[in-house]
Amino acid sequence: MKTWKKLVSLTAACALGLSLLAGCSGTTTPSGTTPGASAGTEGDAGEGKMFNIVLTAPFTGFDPLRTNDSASTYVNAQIYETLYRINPETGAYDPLLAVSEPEYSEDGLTVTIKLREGVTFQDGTPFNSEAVKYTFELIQDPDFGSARASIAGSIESMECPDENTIVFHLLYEDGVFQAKLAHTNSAIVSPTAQQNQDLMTQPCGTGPYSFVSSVSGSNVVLTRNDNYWGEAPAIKDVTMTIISDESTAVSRMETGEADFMPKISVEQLSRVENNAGLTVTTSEAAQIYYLGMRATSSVNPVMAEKDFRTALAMGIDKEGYVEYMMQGYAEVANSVIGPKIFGYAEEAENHNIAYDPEGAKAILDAHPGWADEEILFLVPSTPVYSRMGEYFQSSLTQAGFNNIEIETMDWSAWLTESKVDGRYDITLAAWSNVTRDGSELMEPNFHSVNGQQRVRLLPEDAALVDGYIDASKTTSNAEVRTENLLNCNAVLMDEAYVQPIYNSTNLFCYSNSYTGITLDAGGTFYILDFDYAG
Amino acid sequence: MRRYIVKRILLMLLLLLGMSFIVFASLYIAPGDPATMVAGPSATEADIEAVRASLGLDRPFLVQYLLYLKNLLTLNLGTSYTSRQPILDEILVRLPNTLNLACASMILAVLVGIPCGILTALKKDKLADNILTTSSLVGISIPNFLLGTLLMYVFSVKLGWLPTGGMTHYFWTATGFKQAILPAIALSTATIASFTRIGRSAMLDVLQSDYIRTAKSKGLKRKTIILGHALRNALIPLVTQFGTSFGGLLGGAIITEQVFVINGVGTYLITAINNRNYPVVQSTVLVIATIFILINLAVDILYCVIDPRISYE
Amino acid sequence: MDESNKHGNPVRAAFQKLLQNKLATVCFVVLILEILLVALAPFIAPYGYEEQDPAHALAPGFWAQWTAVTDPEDPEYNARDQYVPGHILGTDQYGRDTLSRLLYGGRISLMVGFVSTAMGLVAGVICGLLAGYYKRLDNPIMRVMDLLFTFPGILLAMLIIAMLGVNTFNAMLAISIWSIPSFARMVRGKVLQVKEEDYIMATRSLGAQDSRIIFVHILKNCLPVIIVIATMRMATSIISISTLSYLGMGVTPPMPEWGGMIAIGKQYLWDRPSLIFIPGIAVMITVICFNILGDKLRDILDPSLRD
Repeated sequence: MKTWKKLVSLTAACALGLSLLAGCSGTTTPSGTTPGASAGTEGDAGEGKMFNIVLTAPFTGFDPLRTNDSASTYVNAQIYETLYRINPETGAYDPLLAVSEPEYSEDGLTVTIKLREGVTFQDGTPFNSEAVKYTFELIQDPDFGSARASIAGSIESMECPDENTIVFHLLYEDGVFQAKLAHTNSAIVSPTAQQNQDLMTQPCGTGPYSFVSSVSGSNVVLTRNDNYWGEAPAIKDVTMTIISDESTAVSRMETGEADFMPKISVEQLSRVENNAGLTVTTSEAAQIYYLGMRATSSVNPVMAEKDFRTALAMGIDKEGYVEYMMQGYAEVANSVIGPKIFGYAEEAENHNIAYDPEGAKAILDAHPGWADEEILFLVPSTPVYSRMGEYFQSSLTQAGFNNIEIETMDWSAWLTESKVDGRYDITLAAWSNVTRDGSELMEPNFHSVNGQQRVRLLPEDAALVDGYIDASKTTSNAEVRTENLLNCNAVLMDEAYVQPIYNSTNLFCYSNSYTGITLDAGGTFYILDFDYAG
Repeated sequence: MRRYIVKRILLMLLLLLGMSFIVFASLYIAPGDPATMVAGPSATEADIEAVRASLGLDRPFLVQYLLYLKNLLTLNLGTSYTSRQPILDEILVRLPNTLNLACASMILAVLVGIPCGILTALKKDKLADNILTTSSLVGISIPNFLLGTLLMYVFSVKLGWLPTGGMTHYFWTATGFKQAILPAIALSTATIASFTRIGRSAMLDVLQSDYIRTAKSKGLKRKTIILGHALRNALIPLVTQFGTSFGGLLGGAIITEQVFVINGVGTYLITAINNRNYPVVQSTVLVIATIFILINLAVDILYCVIDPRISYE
Repeated sequence: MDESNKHGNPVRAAFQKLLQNKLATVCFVVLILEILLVALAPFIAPYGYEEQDPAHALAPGFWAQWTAVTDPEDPEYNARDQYVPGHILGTDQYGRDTLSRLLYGGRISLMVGFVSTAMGLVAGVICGLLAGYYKRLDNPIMRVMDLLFTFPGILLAMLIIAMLGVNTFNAMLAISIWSIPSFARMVRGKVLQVKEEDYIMATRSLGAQDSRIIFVHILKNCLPVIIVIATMRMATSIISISTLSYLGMGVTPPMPEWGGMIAIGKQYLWDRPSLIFIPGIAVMITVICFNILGDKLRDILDPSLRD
């Protein structure tokens, strides 16, 4: 009997322990966000209906200065605003928190911007030039940990002559400056809020939506900001839920538990294409995928030969890839700077090395031994890249290359090793940037100031490219900038260092109960523009 | 007895310390760099360096490790590189989901496994025994992610009776039950199988013992014998198995969470490993190991309590 | 199996007894067949495992000839649901042949299972020998073994792979560590037994030769039991590699592996569930056979291993 008593008391102790644990961390859902209490199935569209968005990647936090993963950007784009915003049709920088174009001084080192009046942050603090100055100083602060410190890299100092004017004093004439002011990592934050709370979990901006609640790794709830300076959005309450498995996310769309899926991959299309309640559509994106080559491979001297690289470029069947593997949901890229990027002109495409397996074979035949050279092809093991890697390996083999070796590594390892490891000859890479500016494309990827690179140029070409990139950055004259960017593009393409493959399109899906749903070229959406259908 | 517990706790702390060092060191030497992960693929070298400095990654290894240990003393499990939030908070949000799943599975395993074990012992070598024993062998042969996916296909996709994943409520509520039942079944099959096998052999041993024969000869009813005496003794090896199984359940939960898209500690850990989010990996492993060791300690004490014949010096 | 029967080949005797059990024989034959098939994969697979055929992506297998609507005039006709001759078991999202990938994938799964069990065996036997032979090493080694035995193995494997990087060899290493304790415990037990027995003999013969005699003696005694444990560990190792591949930490693409194929298949759970069922069944059959075989072998060779 004594044994049983002990047993019972021990079990009771364990149960108590467990329930304490359960109690102190609360229930697994925040109040007001029970699933199934969502849209789709309740009555007809109108006020009070929760707009449910499903994300396939987790957000990391709500501080726009310290996060730049796409999921966090989706959330922050509703809560915060920047001084300028890219117009999705024209590509121009429309004033948002600014009211007019920036005024440049003669030498380009002083930039004056007039700010919008009557704007308040969601905590009631007024928006003014002090807030702008505060934000940029924060970005520059080495102890702060901003995700894109280079945004404020050209700023020497700032002045606030009055509440609604901000003056930037630059270190050099910065051609990319206005683009940087449209970058989501330069959104203006409330100084009071930033000092008193952690924006990562309690955001505060000037945007049309305010933060309500969030469960880490699970969801975030937003609501309409009734003190917003602009036109009030039609949709009042928004929940963004993380469902990291795409096929499960799509089934939420099918059952109506979710209304909008900002990113859906081509493979899931067959499930939603014929669904009467859903619309699937694309918008042009500014993301380019390319094949990068190394002329200075540590083990393979043949890569220094321009003809060899040209033959490699000729072996890439881009059209076939876009047509078959992407089912046409992408645009073949014929230049490093794509049509949606600043610095593009049609003539950029004239330097394209087209797919030409016969031409490649001819080059290889003319040089004995070239066809059997071992080419080490580094491919990150993510689904998107490994699919490309296999396809192009077979495409190159059909063009006469007998010895293309694929080496794969996981994404995180690839991010560093692709720059540091000197052994491989070619790799796949991509670029996209919210600013959609050509200098922002060229510099991190091709300028030698970055040290070891994924794409490695021969010294004379590297000097040329560096020169063009620097020239494009240090002037605000659009024509001069474009000219330099085009020259840079020409070198990279003519000397066959880069073979652009495709410009992605944003594929997304939404319920027919809504209208006005679009994505900009960076893949960001603004719920402000959405409305109920009918 | 008290000395034993104290000794075990000290041993546990030592183990955890050693494990934390190994985990910390191993992630440090692994290829892949958290600063690059946070800065993203389009960042310039300068941006990456700035992020690296802000994460404190430019300090020497030992300094980082000792700082980590110092924080542990105040129950500060560190800060996540990606979200910059206290890891303890993030774990506490997710732990209930994992424990919810593990407990639901354990209860299922106990409710199904132990009666099966007893049944197969009582009906030894008859049809029921053969069927159940072979089934349990099949049960440990199906990887739980496969079973989970198959269950999802039948009950969620084809029949639509149950949701396709997620976990928002505890398993004793109506919604929570529907969310937990499929992953719990997938997770518990191996444990059910081991409870059946061990229950069977333990029950068989006990039924053949002199003690039981004496009771039978005394004319006690079969039912009383089984439920009263045999069961209590057969429970002993089962209790030991409980501790081992819980470890298996925790490990299995990590995988099942992926299949059913549950926001638990397992998903947290896997994402962190992929992102080279060192502090999260260390602290999560530490938390899981601690829970696991505590359960084993509890089981050992329970064992002692149930069977007073056993004593520890 | 009693200790007195040290003469004659215990393995052969056990084998013969095994074949008397119908179930075990079936399992054995199935496994041999499987090993043959995957070994011959380069010769019998109709396509390469990375050969893409995007025009015929997500095609069903031969059963579609009867289950799908084949008449193009019929309004229910769906071009994607038609059987593509040549792809007997269908294709995946890139048009890669499932049958070929199944065969090549089997090579990886079985090879990893075999190698990691072998590595675990060697390391475990050495640990067991050391623990049994040297008293001072016994406690520390066995504490570590206890920990390894009960700690969630998959967690351990994930950590090792995170530390060393994601590739097949590291996966084998990670899984083999999980197998070490089973072998170590058993060998240590045998060592302790044999040490007692032969010590008396040892005092009478030349000193140096003892260790060699004991080792040979021990290993001969252990052999049947090693086989039982190895068989069971094969099953566990195959489950482990497919789990790791499912999580993306095992074999890297494009190399197929049953677990990885199941992970891909899950994306198409709605469209083409056969992508999950086919490798899933392969894993299940293989593991069940190993488990049943191991179970019967244990009954024959050493019932004391039951717990």
